[in-house]
Amino acid sequence: MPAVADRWEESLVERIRAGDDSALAAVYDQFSAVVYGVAVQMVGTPHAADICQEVFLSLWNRPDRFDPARGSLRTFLVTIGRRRCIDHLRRHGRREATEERATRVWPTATPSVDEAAIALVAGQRVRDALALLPPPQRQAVELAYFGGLSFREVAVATGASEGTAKSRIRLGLQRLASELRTHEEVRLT
Amino acid sequence: MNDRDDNHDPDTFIDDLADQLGLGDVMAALADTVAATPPPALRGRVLSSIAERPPVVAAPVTELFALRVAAMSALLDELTTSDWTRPAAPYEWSVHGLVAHLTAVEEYTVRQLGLAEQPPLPASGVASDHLALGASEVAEMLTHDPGSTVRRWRAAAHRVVDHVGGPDFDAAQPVPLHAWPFDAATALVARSFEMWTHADDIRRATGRTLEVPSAAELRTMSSTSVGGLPILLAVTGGPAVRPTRVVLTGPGGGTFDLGRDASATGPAEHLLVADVVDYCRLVARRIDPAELPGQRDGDDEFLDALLRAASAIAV
Repeated sequence: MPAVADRWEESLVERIRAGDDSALAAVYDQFSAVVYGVAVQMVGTPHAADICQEVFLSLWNRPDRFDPARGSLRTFLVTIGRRRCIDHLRRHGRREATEERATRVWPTATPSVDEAAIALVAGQRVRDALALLPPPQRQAVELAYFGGLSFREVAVATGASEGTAKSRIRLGLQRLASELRTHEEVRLT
Repeated sequence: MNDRDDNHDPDTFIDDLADQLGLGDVMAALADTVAATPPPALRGRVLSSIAERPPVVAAPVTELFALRVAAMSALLDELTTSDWTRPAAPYEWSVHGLVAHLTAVEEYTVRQLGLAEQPPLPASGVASDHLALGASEVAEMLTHDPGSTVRRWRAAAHRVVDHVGGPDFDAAQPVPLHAWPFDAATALVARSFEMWTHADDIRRATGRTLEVPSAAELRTMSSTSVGGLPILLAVTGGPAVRPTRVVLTGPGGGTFDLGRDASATGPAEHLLVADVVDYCRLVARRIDPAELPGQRDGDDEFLDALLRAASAIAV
């Protein structure tokens, strides 16, 4: 990520730490589309807004948890969002949701505002990279990432052993990283 | 299959794996593929549900002053014979001369608090000239050894500390300092700024590391300063205060809105972001307004006037 973006993110978090709600608004405007989109995929539209709100409140309440040395603010917020979604699935019966999520086609979202549209352009490159994965690996990554399925659920959904499911997720992620990093223009933030 | 995979929580397997492999950026990139516009009302819901950040507990002004006296006292104990003769920029004094000046100001403070035989001086005439005040006393002190000056400084400083920490202290008592018609509480904050700044002047002159006061002390100094900006703008001939958000980052900092109704929504007309220590050094005229690191949005001319006003009290 460019150094100027690093500084911008760190400056916003510093301002949040100092109690500046306009900095939180700026972070929301920049990243809510990806956080909300992930939540929609993992827990469905009725619960996605609550998850999204929790993520930004978490940043407000615990800004010290963001460590720029460990990754970008986008990565941090997406990670928090995914953890919240998984907690939600645990609490609200992931088993019942598994079948429906396992058959979902990803991605389906159609953003309409600028930031979401920008993310969608970047997302197209990621989709292209995903398409290059061997189908079993792509399916395993999509089920685990967008569906929030455990590796055991991925195994059941794909008819593979648990070990095979884990290997496919691992290899899929590594190949995806390799594909993305060979194209410098892809935003890896 | 990798044996390390066996230790992962099945539910968070892909997340833990990405973390382990340093692929957090790939996980974030995947999110771009599903970006979706949140419901329009969600933004307002998020921003209206955040709790106001509890401010760092500010040090009471009497404690702030006592802590600054203690810090100066400890520094003076450290100084070696050669340290006392070093030039103390930005002044023409040596370190000894600077401490003598501080002693003269401390004795003046004793008088302004009504603790001396002579009545307090009005905020005009010779008393309004901070550097000229006590010039003859400074010259006299420099004819003696530094230890004598330190004893005299301690006597005056401890007299103030004992008084402001006692039951008779009235924080609202008028205490004019130089040209400024302060109350006692504001006077103690101004004096604390001065003590901290001169201690750092001495540290700089003698090759020591500068000191950052505690978060509680910085909160008291910075919030008093920012709170006074509308008045300082007026008395320095600046423009009327305009809606401005001042964000001071770091321990002891905070967010302050100037020239805005409490009910105002939306971004302020102007934004100034700076590290709280840098801001306090600007107030003490150890950082030039044009060189203050940070961020500013809005009318540069107004923000320049605001920062000049912030340092109006220091000399």
